[in-house]
Amino acid sequence: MSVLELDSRLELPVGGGIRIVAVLDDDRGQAKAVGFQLEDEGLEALVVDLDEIPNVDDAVAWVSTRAHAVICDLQLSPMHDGIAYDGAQLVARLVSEHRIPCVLTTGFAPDVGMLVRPHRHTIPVLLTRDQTEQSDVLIEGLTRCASEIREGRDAGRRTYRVPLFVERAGMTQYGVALDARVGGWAHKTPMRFPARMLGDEYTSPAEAEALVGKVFFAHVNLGAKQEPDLFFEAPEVEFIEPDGQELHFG
Amino acid sequence: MTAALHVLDVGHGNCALACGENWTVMVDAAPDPAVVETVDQLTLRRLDTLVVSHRDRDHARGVVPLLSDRKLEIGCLFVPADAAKDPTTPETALLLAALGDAKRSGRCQVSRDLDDSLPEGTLDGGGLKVEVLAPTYATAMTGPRGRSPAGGTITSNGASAVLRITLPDGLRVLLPGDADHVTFEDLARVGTDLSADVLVFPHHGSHSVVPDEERFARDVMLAVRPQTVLFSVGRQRRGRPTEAVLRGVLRADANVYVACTQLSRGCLSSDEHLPRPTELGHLAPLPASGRSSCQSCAGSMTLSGAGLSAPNSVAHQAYVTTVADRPLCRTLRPALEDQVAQSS
Repeated sequence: MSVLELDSRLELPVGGGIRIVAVLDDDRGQAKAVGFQLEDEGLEALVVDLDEIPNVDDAVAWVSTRAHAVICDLQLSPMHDGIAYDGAQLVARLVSEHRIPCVLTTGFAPDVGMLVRPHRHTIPVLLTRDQTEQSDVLIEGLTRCASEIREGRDAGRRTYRVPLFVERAGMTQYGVALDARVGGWAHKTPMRFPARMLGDEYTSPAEAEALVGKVFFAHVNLGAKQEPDLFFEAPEVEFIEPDGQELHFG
Repeated sequence: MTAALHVLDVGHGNCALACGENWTVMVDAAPDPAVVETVDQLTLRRLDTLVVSHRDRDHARGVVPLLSDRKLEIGCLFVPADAAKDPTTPETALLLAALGDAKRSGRCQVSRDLDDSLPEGTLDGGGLKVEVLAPTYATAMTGPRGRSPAGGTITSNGASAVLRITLPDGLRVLLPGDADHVTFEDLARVGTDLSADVLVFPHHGSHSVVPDEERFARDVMLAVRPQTVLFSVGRQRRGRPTEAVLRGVLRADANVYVACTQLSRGCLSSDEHLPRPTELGHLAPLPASGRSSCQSCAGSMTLSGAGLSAPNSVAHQAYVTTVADRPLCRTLRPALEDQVAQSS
């Protein structure tokens, strides 16, 4: 067992470098595979038994007292019916409350926006499963997260106030979703997020549908390279009918 | 602040920022964070003039975060009407929402009246001279989809504003947006003097609608007679500047200094051979879209004095030599092309 100093880039809550990395995944085989990769890098992998930590409070307490860093999959429940939280909720709390470097991993399923978006502002690093097969990408992800914890957001995650145009509303298995185009972002892909991020009243499909064609302002990280990396903060829930109301949007 | 004009690396698109004594003029704003980051880095609280040369997204969409920034005042935004743009798209709604927000809070005035009839001195300030050379009054009255006074159909590009900004030290920079052959024929019709020391080449060095790109580039060069030609290009867009345009530029003036914001795929085709971040030490200390991905070539550039003041031209050339497989800004120079032809 060795300690990975990572050029002293990581200042961790425990010790001066990463030694123990907790790995959480509902697919235990996948968790072990990631663990082997970390061990090849000289780290100690702690493959977590999810049955021991059925709720997010327990998980935060358990992980934060046993690991210096975390690799966590988004889906923690399908193979463990008793698990009442997902990886995004856990990682967001570990980063914001305990300043523990984390990497959230996912298959980038269509519902990533619904599960991750509410927490994305406190989840610095989101990797695809494919990327987790590369040890250097995992280590770079932990380094990037540690850097944001220590020094604040880099250019890709700095936010700017812009308008968002609600293009669509619809029901998903995770609740009512909105798709919104981001003003001033380089890409045309709409950002998907739970309608409840704009207020509890929009959990109703009819209320959410009424937002289609309207604009609201929020602070968005315009440096995001792709849609899963987008997040928004401080939404101003004063919906605007764009000037020129005779225009037919949508 | 020393007066200067910055040509920002915004990937595919354009943004130029001229800074005089307490006076700033921005021309075009591509949807790239380098635009707002530069405003932040220079701690600008006011853009006295913001010109959108035409309504294509790579020139116009970046005004949305500028308009939405509550700490930023915009003296006057010149944005043209364009019948060729679908008014029902989300992009239009977002622009209108940002404009409405800025106007309601008194942060911005808006005008569509930008053409060569604007009285001389209207946009000048802080030692900067800002001339509107195009669209001509006749073209602006017609607009995109109309018939050009010089013949041919006016497109969004053809109606592009062409500005010449002169810095207090006398350096003249021509910013032609995406002006095409119809624009230049219209300017020739009215006898406009286009001379400048620096040319930001129109339409990122690619003119698929122009019958003969090389000849077009040569004609533009002969009209402007610049010592420095810059291309604002995104590496993700293939073949910009095109070899034909570069050949036209270099055959018009074999000694002209050429620099691109990003490394063209024509110069280095494979991303596997992009440099490491530590090899980008030549870049000017300005935000640049290609910096983190190591796609910048000259990156964001600062013009003052005799021309390019940052990055240092020697350092930039050394970087090109190191990184590019086939640096087109050199290999297409007539003397070198002739040598290659003779040796083969």
